[in-house]
This record gives sequence, C-alpha cells and structure tokens, in this order.
Amino acid sequence: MNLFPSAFLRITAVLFLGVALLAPVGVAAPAAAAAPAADPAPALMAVINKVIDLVLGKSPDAITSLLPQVRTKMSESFAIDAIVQRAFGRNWTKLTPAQQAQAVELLGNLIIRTYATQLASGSRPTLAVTASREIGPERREIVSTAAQDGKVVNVIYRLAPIDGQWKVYDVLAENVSVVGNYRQQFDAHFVKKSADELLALLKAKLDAPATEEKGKSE
Amino acid sequence: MNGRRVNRLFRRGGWSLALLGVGLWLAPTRLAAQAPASIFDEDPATLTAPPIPDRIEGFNRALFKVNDGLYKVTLRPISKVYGAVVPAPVRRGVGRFFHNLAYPTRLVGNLFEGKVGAAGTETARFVVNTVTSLGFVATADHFPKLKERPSDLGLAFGAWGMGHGTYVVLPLLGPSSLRDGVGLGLSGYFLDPVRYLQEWEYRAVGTGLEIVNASPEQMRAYDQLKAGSIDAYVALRDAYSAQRSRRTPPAAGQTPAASAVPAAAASTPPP
Repeated sequence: MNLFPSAFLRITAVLFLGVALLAPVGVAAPAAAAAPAADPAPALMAVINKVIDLVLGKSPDAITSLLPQVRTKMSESFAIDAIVQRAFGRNWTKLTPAQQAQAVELLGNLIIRTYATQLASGSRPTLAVTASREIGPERREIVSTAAQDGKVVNVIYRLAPIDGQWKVYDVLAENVSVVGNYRQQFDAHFVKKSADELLALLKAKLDAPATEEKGKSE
Repeated sequence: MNGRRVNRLFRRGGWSLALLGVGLWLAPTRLAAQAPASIFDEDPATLTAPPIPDRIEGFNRALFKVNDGLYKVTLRPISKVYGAVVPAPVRRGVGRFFHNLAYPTRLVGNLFEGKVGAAGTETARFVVNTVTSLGFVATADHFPKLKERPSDLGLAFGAWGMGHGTYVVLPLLGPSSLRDGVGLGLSGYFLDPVRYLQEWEYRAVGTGLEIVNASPEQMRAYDQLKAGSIDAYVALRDAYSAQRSRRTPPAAGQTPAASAVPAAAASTPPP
C-alpha cells in the first residue's frame, strides 16, 4: 500500500512542472491578431530548452536572481498576462488596474519560481512533441512529454494568436490546467476575502523560501 | 407553357427561395460559431474538470492541516534521511518494484471496467517486468504495444456509473473521494500482495519500505505544491478531480471536460 493514493505524487509533481512554462510579458491585455501560419511547436520547445539552460543546476537563490532573464526568454512563447487574467476569470474585474498589474507581476513570478526550482532540482528534462494540431478557430494545442528522473509527464500547451504570433495561454500537465487550478483557488479566496488580501498573500509566498525544505533530497 | 408546367416551376422556385432563406438565416449563426472566442471569455467549464463535490469541506480542511503537521514531524525527517542515504536510481528501482507488485489492482480494475485487452496488456507487462528484473526495471516500457493501462477499483466503480459521493481527505493518505477511498480500502485488503505475507513483521516492513521509499519525491512535490499555491487545499482538490476525471470513463450521454486530451496523452507511464 502506498502512503498516498497513486495519483498524489503525479498530481503534485506535475502541477508545477507543466505549469511551468509560463512567463510574464506585460500587463496590457494582448490583442488577438491574424493567426501565423507556421507550426509553433519548434519555437516553443526551443524557448523551453533555453529556459532549462538558464536554470538547470542552480540554487533557489540563484534562480530568484535569474527571474527577469527567464521572464524575458519565456515571453517569446508565453502570454503570462493572458494566463493570469484567465486564472482570475470573473474575479478579474474586482481588481483595480493597479492591482491587475500587480497580480500579473506577482503570480507570474510565483509560477516561474516554482517551476524553475523544480527544474533545477533534477536531471535535465527531455522534451518531445507528440502532436501539434488545430483545435478550433485560431486555437492550437501542442501535446508533449517531459521526461525527468525516470518520470514522464504529459504536458499540453494551448495557444492562440496574440500580438501577431502563437502564444501559450494555458498549460495542462497530466490534465491539470494551470489556469483552471488557480481559478479554483481564486474563486475560493474571493468568497470571503478581498483583492488586497490576495495580493498580500502572493507577496508573502514570494518572500518565503521556494520550498519548505531547503536543499535537495537527491 | 401549360398550367401544370407553370405550377411546377413555381413550386420549384418556391422551394429554392425557401432553401435560400434558410441558408441566409443559418449563415450568420454558422459564421458566429466558427469565429474564435476571446481567450478571456471562454467557458470556464472547458478549463477544468467538473470538481468532485466537497460536501464536508470543513472536516476535510481540518484533516488536511492534521496531515500537514504529521508530515512535518514524521515523514519529512524520515524522507530527508532516507533520501540522503539511498541514491535516487535505487529509490526509483524500489518504487518500480512496488508498482509492479500492485499489478493485481490494475488487473482487477481493468477487468471490472470491462477492458479485457487492457487487462491482458497489464498481465504482459507484469510478466515481462518480473521475468527480466523482478520488477525493479520497467522493461515493458521498451515495447510500444505494452503501454501501461492504469486502473483501480475506484475507476471501475466509476465505469459502473457510481459517482464520487464527496471529496475526502484521508488520514495520512491525502486526497481521495468516498468512492475512490472505498476502492483503495478494498484493493489494499484483498489485492495487495504484501498483505498476504504470513508474518506481520514482513507485512510491516513491506508497507513501511514502500512508504518511506516514495517519501523523498512525495515530500518534495508536496512542498512545491504548497509553495506555489495560495490555497494548497483547493489546489490539491482540483488537481485530484482533474486527474480522476481524465481516467474515469464518461457516463452515457456525458462529455468529459477533458475530452480535448488525446488518448495518447491520457496514459501515464509508471513512476
């Protein structure tokens, strides 16, 4: 018998592995443009591999100092402002423009730091694209796998034409949507608490260590 | 032109006009359906799986806190020592051994789901892994036709149309549901080979080793989940719902939210 139900480890492990791959770009909502014709999969994988190059083997402190570089690189293929806004969903309008800008900054940083810390704590993940296809008008999805330390995680990237190129607006790791997962958390938060409290919570999370236990278990 | 011909022409013209009218009426609707929706106003239902109803949230949250405390004082220190002493490749091998040993649960789950082919695949995987390495190496992964077909009693109950009942946090074990918890209990009692060892000491060692061996990775994943979420309880509940939704076959006439996930991506290799 396992200590946790079998899904537990995979859920927690992949939640932020797939989440991954989100990078803050800016605060303004992206404007949809004509869909570029080229398959975005090679460019996306190239960006993710570059990010892995940046963070692999780095300590949590080093990763924190590298966050601006990681954001810049990931912004080539990820629309973090869209991801954050979608994560807030109907709660987005409860934030003032200033709070919205802060939310994009803080949540983007939180996601990137969590992902980068996980990447840095293992061997180099091997990425493979298994499918890249249209899923609707101006919507594509890239189905991929990330193999790391004997585990294989299925990751699906959803893309839309944003600012003239295909950009990721959601990531599903083992069927867990990053946007959907945060939206559940935010929905629960806004039942009883305010936007200011949420921003304070995000800031506190970022000020705390990247993991409860410092160091590697490897 | 006689009267009958005129009549036929008018009848045809009438049909043509009617068809044209219907076409014009439908055209905007069809065009609207084809137009891309804003990525900001997509139906939230397509984002995430239908959550497992949490009818005892207060109790579950309390148990989540208790579990968190228990992990802190027991499992985390143990996992730290074990992780430092036993190298990761050895831990992975031991983990695969126990995963291979859980074959009866996957077999019965698949059979109860009516997936005879999947049950056969699981049997073949078990034989290949056991014969080649006693299960310490996932040799079957090298054969594309032997892709793992995970199942368990909770999924089988789902295939029979049984709902989750309510989300449940199990003591020490963590996220589950009423249905899945019953399945877990039954498979632990009847289908876990370790339970059939004669001496209780062997059973204790077997169960303990499995728990401790998995603990370094589980604690690390748990810590990362907590560090990256604003409400770890909700994050884990949603993730569990999504995971189980992907694996539970939809009831008749129901479309799963995860239908966009292709079959190829819907199976996870063993840890």
